[in-house]
Amino acid sequence: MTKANLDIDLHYITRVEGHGNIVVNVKEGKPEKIQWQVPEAPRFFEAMVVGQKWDMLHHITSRICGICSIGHTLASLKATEAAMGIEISEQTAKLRRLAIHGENLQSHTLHVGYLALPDLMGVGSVVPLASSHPEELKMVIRLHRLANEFSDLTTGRTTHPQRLIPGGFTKLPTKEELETVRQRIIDAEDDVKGVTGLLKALAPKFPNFTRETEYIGITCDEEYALYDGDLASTDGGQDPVSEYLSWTNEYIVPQSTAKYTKRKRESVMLGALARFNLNHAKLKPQAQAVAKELGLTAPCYNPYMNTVAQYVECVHTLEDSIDIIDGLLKHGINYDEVYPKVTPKAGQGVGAVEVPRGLLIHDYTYDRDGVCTVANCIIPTNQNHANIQLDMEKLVPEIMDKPKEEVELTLEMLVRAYDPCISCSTHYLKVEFKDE
Amino acid sequence: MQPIAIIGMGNYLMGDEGVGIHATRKLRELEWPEGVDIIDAGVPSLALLHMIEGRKLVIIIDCADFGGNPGEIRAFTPDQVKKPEPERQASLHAADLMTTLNIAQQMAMQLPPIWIVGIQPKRVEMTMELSSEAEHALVTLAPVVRNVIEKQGASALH
Repeated sequence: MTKANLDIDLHYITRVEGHGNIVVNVKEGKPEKIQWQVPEAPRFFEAMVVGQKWDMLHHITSRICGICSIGHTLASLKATEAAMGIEISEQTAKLRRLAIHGENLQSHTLHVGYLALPDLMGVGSVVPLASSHPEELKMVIRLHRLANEFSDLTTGRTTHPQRLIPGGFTKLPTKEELETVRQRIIDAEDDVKGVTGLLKALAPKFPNFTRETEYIGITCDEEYALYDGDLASTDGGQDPVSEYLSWTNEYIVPQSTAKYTKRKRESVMLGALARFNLNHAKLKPQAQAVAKELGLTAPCYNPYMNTVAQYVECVHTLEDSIDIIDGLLKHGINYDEVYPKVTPKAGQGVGAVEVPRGLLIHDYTYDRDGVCTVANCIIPTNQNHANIQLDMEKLVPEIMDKPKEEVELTLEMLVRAYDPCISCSTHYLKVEFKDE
Repeated sequence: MQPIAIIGMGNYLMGDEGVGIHATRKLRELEWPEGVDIIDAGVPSLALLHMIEGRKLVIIIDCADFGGNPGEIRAFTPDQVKKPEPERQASLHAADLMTTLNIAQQMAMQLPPIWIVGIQPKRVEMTMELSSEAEHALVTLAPVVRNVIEKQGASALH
């Protein structure tokens, strides 16, 4: 019998209020405490939107998160449109799909390139890669730049979009802009091949850990669902997003101020791996080929492979974006759709989209003047916390005989695999001058 | 893309943390020389680097706790600041301005001269209202930014 002893207390320190801790105590081979703690100050963004008008909510909620700002905007717009019965055109839906692709590409390249690669290469951060793997790092930087340009084109901004409004867009991209982005995607082919090769070489370094759980996301018949679809689970069941409360079942646990969620099991997993497990057959051909090349096959129960699933989604995003742009160029862009007329009315509506970390849900109730009276926002990171906890409970006994540093790194990599958003609302500078 | 960028950073849902965003709105009401972009960057994480690349001068306005009085403004360059200790990161959601600039520097990215105009916060909490001290700082901010452009920006514009 193992006699392992471990005393791990890792703190993710962020600038102000938010942080997550990994706490593990093992005595004589017996785990006494295994906890993923999220002692983040509770947020009250929902309270902030109550009392605000229908045409402001998407601007306010886009500021909740700098990385998922397009996702928050789209979930918000969809909720408002559902509440007020606002229809959108096929062109608007296509452009919104491009916007969500841009955000996924931004976020996934950041995560894969700047956080996961250093782990896999055994260095503490992205910094040493600049000298050890400069070409690979440049590929990641170029893909990230492309993603930013992409978001700029579709939403008018790299973050916190301005052009997206209930019912449509305030400004539409020009034909030339679409053609430029299309060409930039084609030019990125070598970078995609390069990063694929790098990940393939590093794939054996992903910890070999599996724990089957319930994978939840949206799904639809037409495509790999990111913008639209019904709620779906690998444990079965499919419902319109308006039924989300019976899927999220939020509850409170002592070690976390974030609300946990569960459905058929004790926890659920959301995000790229969940989407892959649910909708892999709808991925574009090159993305399917890259998944195969990187050893990602459905169903995959290894949470570390979420990073690979994110990269596969990057490839899908680029392919699907070319198809969307070709469709828009073929039919020509109708510029008369700018500024739809909306008459506010009372109602309640739910909007859901897939953002980089998983399913994001906004639910608003409006009075007859279009003023928000009730709001509920369920973010994917919170829905994943319980799954991280249960992963750790299974993982620690499997690795506790290894050196402490290796156990710590393996646990940290687990948390990072989920790419959690545990503090993104405040980033102000703490400055100490050299001469003081 | 213009050669000079004035970039406001922060989150206006969090009180004085968003003073950089309020600043961009205020500064847009004023006249600026040709060649100046005013950008509301929000909370951009590493996307900030792509807003900076290719410029000749960048001025970043951000909420900064430098131990001053609430509303105090201080202009400085990144090399005047002690480098933060490397922190354990769960995600890049947590990357602040200095972390982002340090990553760029370590990766040998070609960045233009950067000035940070920091505004000392009074309160960072969930509200869209600025403190009266931060509001007052916005009134006195423009000359500070103009001064940096006059001293540093002549070569950028010509």
